[in-house]
Amino acid sequence: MVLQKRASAGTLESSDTMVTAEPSGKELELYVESIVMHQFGDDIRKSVMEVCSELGVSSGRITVKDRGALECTIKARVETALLRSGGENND
Amino acid sequence: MIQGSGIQSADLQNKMVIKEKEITLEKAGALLLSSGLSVPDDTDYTAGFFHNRELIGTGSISGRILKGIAVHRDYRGENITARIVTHLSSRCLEKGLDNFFIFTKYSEMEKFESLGFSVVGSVKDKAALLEYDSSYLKRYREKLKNLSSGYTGENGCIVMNCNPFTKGHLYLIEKASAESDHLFILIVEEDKSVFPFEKRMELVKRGTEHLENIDVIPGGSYTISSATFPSYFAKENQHTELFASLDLDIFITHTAEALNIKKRFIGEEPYCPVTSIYNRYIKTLLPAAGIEAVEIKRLKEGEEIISASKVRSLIREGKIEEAEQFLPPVTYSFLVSEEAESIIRKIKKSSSRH
Repeated sequence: MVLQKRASAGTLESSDTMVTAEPSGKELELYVESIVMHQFGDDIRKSVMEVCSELGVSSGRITVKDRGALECTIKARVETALLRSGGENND
Repeated sequence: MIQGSGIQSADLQNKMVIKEKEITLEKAGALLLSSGLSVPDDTDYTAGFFHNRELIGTGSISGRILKGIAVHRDYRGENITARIVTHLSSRCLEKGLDNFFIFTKYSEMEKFESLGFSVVGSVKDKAALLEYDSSYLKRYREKLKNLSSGYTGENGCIVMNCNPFTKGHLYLIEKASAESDHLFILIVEEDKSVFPFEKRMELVKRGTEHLENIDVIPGGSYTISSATFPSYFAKENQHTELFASLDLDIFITHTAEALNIKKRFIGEEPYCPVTSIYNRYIKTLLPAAGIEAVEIKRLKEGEEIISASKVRSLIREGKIEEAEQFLPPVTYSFLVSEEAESIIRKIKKSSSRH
């Protein structure tokens, strides 16, 4: 899937994650900020990359602002942002 | 987690229904003042958050800055702030803004950092500016570092708007060029001046081709922009001192550091109150950070001090020929070209300061 437009999903509330995805014309850039960066920064990146590869997203800019969400929450937020950005009609 | 207030956090998370809607700034006024915030000016949008019809939270957007974020004291708990910031951020993202900022009190800085915003600059005990997407500041710094690599001597810097480029600007650039090993000229990028950014930049570039040790570059979002120094573009002089300090904190920490700036040159400012306050802060804050501030006297043509605002008022009066004596040939030939007609019409209608 190719990202078409800027889209976001999630919130900045505690235990949630806010994800923004947008096209960039370059290879995948991932920016992660998290209140648990030290313990889980790598795990968060890994989760995001897994969702990207499942959906076949290989270029674009993804920003993740995590407020201590569970892995399943992070993955769901990333998936929603990517699908919204890729132009699928499941808003 | 239960604070002294009557509402328990479990209520906040599970039972309390909070509704949001757009409200007028006047409605938010009392809540802002009771939270120790001033009522912001120039807002495009203000949201109110209600519980049982009572206003318990508010936040505003002004251009690409979130400000005036306050929560009623009985409802403080970071989740309502998070809700407000999420709402405002989503709105900015939907509008397609590349990056946006939070302007807040210094004491609130950490709260917004914990929401994932990154500090761009601050004025101790007064104010802080944070951005949503920290990769923008990183890329700005990298771009400047690339530009300055190889220039390890006494680099100079001028930040100028050039609305439009005059002989006075040229004189300042020539003086600064002679006193620097390499000179970076940052042109204010915010497109709020009557001469568009691209044109201001082009005229300076073409008018300084004879100088070899200079680079003319865009000022970006972090040098005299609507985020760092909104008073520069506003009609009212609100909080000029505060924003001057904030803009210079960002200049010192990021721009000057990445460009390896040792001196910043400024033109003496006899007319504009905002610029003269800014200059005063340059002369105190920069030397304290190890950067020399060099003030250059204005160039006179006869008895008259040359200034871009003088040029604009001659244009407004339809006396472009009289302005020629104040302008380098590049600017004058642009002004009498067909391309300038729409700008001249705008000047005749407006009265902006810069």
